[in-house]
This record gives sequence, structure tokens and C-alpha cells, in this order.
Amino acid sequence: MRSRILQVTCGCVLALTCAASAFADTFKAGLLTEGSATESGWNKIAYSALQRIGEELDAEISNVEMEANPASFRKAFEDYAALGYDVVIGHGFQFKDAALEAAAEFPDTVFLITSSDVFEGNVVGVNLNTFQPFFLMGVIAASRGDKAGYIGGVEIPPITNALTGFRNGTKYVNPDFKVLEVMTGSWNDLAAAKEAALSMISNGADTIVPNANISALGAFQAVTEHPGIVAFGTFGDYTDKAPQQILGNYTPDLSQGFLNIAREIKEGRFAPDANILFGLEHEDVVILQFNDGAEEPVSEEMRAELAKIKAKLISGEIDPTVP
Amino acid sequence: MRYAETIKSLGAPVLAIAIALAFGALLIEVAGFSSVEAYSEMWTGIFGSMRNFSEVLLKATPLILIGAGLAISFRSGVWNIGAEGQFYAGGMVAAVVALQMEGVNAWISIPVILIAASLAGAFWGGIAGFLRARYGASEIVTTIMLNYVAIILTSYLVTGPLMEAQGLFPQSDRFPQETQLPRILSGTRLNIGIYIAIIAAIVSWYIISQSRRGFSMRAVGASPDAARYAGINVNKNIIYSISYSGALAGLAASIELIGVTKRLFQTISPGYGFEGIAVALLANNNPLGAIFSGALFGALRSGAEIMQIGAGVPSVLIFIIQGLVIISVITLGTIRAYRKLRPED
Repeated sequence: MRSRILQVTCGCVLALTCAASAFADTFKAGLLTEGSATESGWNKIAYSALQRIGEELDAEISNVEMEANPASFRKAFEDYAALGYDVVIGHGFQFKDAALEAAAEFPDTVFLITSSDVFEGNVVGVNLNTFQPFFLMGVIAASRGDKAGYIGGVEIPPITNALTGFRNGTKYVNPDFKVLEVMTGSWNDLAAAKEAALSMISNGADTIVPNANISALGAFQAVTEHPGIVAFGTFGDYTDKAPQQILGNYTPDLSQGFLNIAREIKEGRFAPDANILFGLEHEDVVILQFNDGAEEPVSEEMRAELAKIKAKLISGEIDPTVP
Repeated sequence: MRYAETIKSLGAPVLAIAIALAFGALLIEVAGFSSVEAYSEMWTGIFGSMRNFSEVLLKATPLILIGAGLAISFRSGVWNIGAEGQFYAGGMVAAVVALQMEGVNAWISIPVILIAASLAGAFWGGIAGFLRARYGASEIVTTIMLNYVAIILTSYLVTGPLMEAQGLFPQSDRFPQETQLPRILSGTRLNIGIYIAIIAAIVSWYIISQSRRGFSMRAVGASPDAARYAGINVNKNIIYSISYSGALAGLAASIELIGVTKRLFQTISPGYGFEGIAVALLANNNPLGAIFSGALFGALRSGAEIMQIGAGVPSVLIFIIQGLVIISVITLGTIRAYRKLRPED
């Protein structure tokens, strides 16, 4: 009874305020981030994706900076969907539940959830296959010596998956290869990463792979103090931190990935059969670039070999998740 | 006469809100947006549809509960800044209990969860109450500290013992379907929590202004020494009042968890506990008033998203407006008190 009265009152207000919600034919994309969208780092990836969608797809874009409170996410998804948005990005696993709940009512909107293992109707997870590029780094490391060091930040799936890929890459070349590993437990503790790198080097590691956000800088410091040691940059171009010694950088461009998906949605070609996993076959998203200015750059023969392995990774002939 | 008083007591909050909205409009204009557009979008976000309005009430539910509880605590002279921690304490217990309720009839599971969470919140508040009563430790300090303890404990639970079976992300498993709080409006997620909140506010009002217990609490709040001299057990009332507000915060958490999020997360509260202080203040520490101030703050929160989508005004602006409301309330209160002291002016 009370809800009936509520409905009537609300209906009246609705009629008054919401008379002009005409649906235009422009492509609309929305983004939900937890916290500021423009700060560098995680949220920035999605925000720049949104801006590129706006510019390159001539789309109407909008974003909302949510508080860290999963209870408020569903309404935001529904708000976008009700306004006729074609795609809404929820940037982080925490958006998954809310998107699933909202999606049932709004089948015409695609909900993309970053780093989430989900594929249910119009809710699709978007992930990077971190196994593959690190597998290739492992191959390179194993061709140069018999020990390498991997420095992870916090022990979360993307970081441990990368380690698994790296280790399996080294084993692919040399089954006896040894990977020393340290998880510093921090994304910004440069000193801890440096200490880890130093102890790895003194234990005989020839290659150092820091995968710990900004604290990687500490590891590169340790590398520059030891000529002859080589390193890889991950999730960013770190070449100038050790120009002689960095062999290459893993510089994934997830915003390009979002742009690709949005383009498919706009053109009506988007028909995934599983959650989206950007791997080496997406050459504009998952990028492993080499530093030609290094003292001993990755050789031409090695690059040819890597291209073959890459093809096998893409075809599935090599599974980087198992040794 | 009484009505005149009531209207007069409403005047200050309404004026405060008007001042805050006016200053907010100024800020929006200065930032280069259209204040008319921002506010009309916000209006749509609040009343634009059944769903939007139901979300306002959904957001208001924890604020009303916490605000009503804090009103009692503040009236008793106990400065409970720990509703946030009491909310988390209730949330943790609600999650632990809810996860055990697979296959249990909803008529049993839901009351058990609500009661357990209330007790947890009461206990968490009671710790600070006990320390104040027994050792004279400032409850302002202890409740703030206990906030951190509860929040960090929650982080521990969701990354450790209660982490989802998949083991990927810091969240608990989904609660069993049996624990879902009944919905009261089809097509929305508005649940009976709003009824519980309103009833709790009315009960709180009855306790503080009509009951004997409430009289002693108010006496303690007005002057502990005078109350003690009159034979009132001051310590007992301190513990009662802070535990009561803790219980409502814990109850709010359980409603939020089994009604809305259905999992335990690290961030189950976006600061409801602190916002509840503002809710109580705006209501002049009247639990009935908390229903309205809670609804207002819920509306501001709820309308903010649409405001950002439609007008591009960052949703954080509503926190500035909320702050302005509080500053205005306090300023107007001070002016009123000053006038009382100097009636000849």
C-alpha cells in the first residue's frame, strides 16, 4: 500500500522532470572509477581510454568518480544504462557484482569490467594475459645465463601470473634455469626493491625483472651499479633509467584495448564468446618492445626465435601457464 | 505554542541548507559549470524516477540509523566519533553469521543476523564507554582509535579467513539467498531496511525524550555532576548511550550487507559513521529529525552521480555542500546562543 503511494508520487515527479530524455543516435560511453579518474596509475588507464573513445569514435563520453563503496556502484551502472549509454566501463573487479545485477534489466548496454573473470550476457571482463609477455622475457633471460631475479610488488594474481609466465619461459629454454623471486609487499618501496635486486645480483642473477610499479626504480638503480647485468621494464617504458642495460620494456596499452572493444560495439561487431583476454595476438595492446640502444641488445637471431615462440603462444601450441 | 516552537526549531536547519546550496551554486559557477544545470540534474537524480527515489531511501537507511543512535549518544554528553568502527564491527559479524545461514529459513536467519550485528556494534561502542566510565579515558580518542581497529580487522578478514573461495579478490563469498532482506518495491533494491530505520528513529526518540532512562541520560549530558548529585548512575548511562548508538550503527551495517552488497568488502562504508555525525547535528540531536536529515544527505549522495553524468560537475562537490550545511548549522546555532545570552541586543 505504502509502496503504491510512493509509486504514484514518484510517477508524478517523474513526468514533470524527465519529460525530455530524447534518445539521440550518438554512441555513448561511460566510465566508473573508484576515486579520482585523472590521477596517474590505474584509473588513468581507463580515463585515457574513455577520452580516446570520445575523440576517435566521435562518442559522447562521461565518467563518474565513485567512492570506495560497492553498495553505490549498481545505481551508477543503471543510471548510465537508463540514459541509453552503449558501453559502461567499471574499472576494477569490485564493479563486477553491481554490473551483473544492473545488466539483467539493461540488455542493450555492454558492461566492461576490468580485471574480472566474468562473461555473462552483456557483462564482460577485460584482462591482460600477463603470462605471455613474461614468458618471452624468460626465454631471453635463459638465453643469457642460468639465473634471473623477479621482483614483485604485492602478491596478487597479475603479479604471480607474470612470475609463472616468466619462470616457464626460462624453463622452455633451460629446464635447470633458476628464478630468484622476492615479493616486496609494496608498490612504492624503492629501497626494498633495490635491496632485493642487489641480493639477487650477488647470488648470481644476470637478468632482473622488477614488476612492482614505481618501486621498480630502486631495482634499476641496483642494476646500473652492476654493469653487465640486464633488466626489463614492465608496465611502462623505463629505458632511460638504465639505457645501457634495459633490454626491453613491456608496455601494455589497455586503453587501446578498450578503444578496440568500443569500436566493435559501435559497429555492431562485438560478439565475444568468453571474457576478453588481451594477449600477444593483440599487437597494439600487448607490446614487448626492445631497446636497440642497449650495450648488448637482443640479437637478430634471438628476435627471430622469439617471433616463432610468439606465434606458438598465440596458436596455443605453447601454454605459458604450465612448465 | 508547541507548533510555533517546532516550526522555529525547523527554521535553522532549513536556512542552513539554503545557505549551503547557495554557496554550492557559487562554487559550481566559479568552477566553470552551470549551477542551474547541476542542480536540475541532481533533482532528476533524486526524483527523476522510481528507481532514483528508491536509491535515495536506500542511501538514507544507514544514515538515519547511525544519526538517530548518535543523537542519543550526543544528548548524553558522550562524543561517540566511532560509529564508523561500530558499523564495521557490525558488518564483520553480520558477514560471519550470514555465511553460515545456507539453508536456514529467512524468518530465522535475518533476525539472527540483525541482532548479532547490533550486539557487535554495541560491544564495539561499549569498549569505549567502559574505558570512559572506568578510567576516564576520552571517548573521542578511543572511538577514533577503535575505528581503525575495526576497519583493519575487516581488511584482514576479507584477505584472509573470509576471502572468497576463488581466492582472487579481497571480498567474502556471496551470502546465501536465504539472507536477502525482503524488497519492498519491485524493480528496485529498496528493502525493508528503511522501515527498520524509521522505526528505530521513533523508538530512539521515545527513549530519549519520553522514558525515564532517557531523562537520566539527558541529565548526565547536561551536567554529569548535577546528575550524580541527584542520584543518577552516570557511568551506567554513559555505557548505555554509547552502546545504544553502537548497536544502531551495527544494525545499519547488517542491513547494508544483507540488503545491498551481499558480500563483505574492505570498503563497506564510504564514511557513513562520520556522515552520521553530521546527520545528528543537522537534526539538532533529535532522533526524529535524523529521519529527515538522513534522507537529505542520502539524496545529496544519490543525486551526485547524475549530476556528474549530466552536468559534468564532479560528484565530490556534494561533500562540500554537506560540509557547508554543517558549518551553517553550527554558525546559526552559535548566533542563536549568543542572542540568548544578550537579549537586549
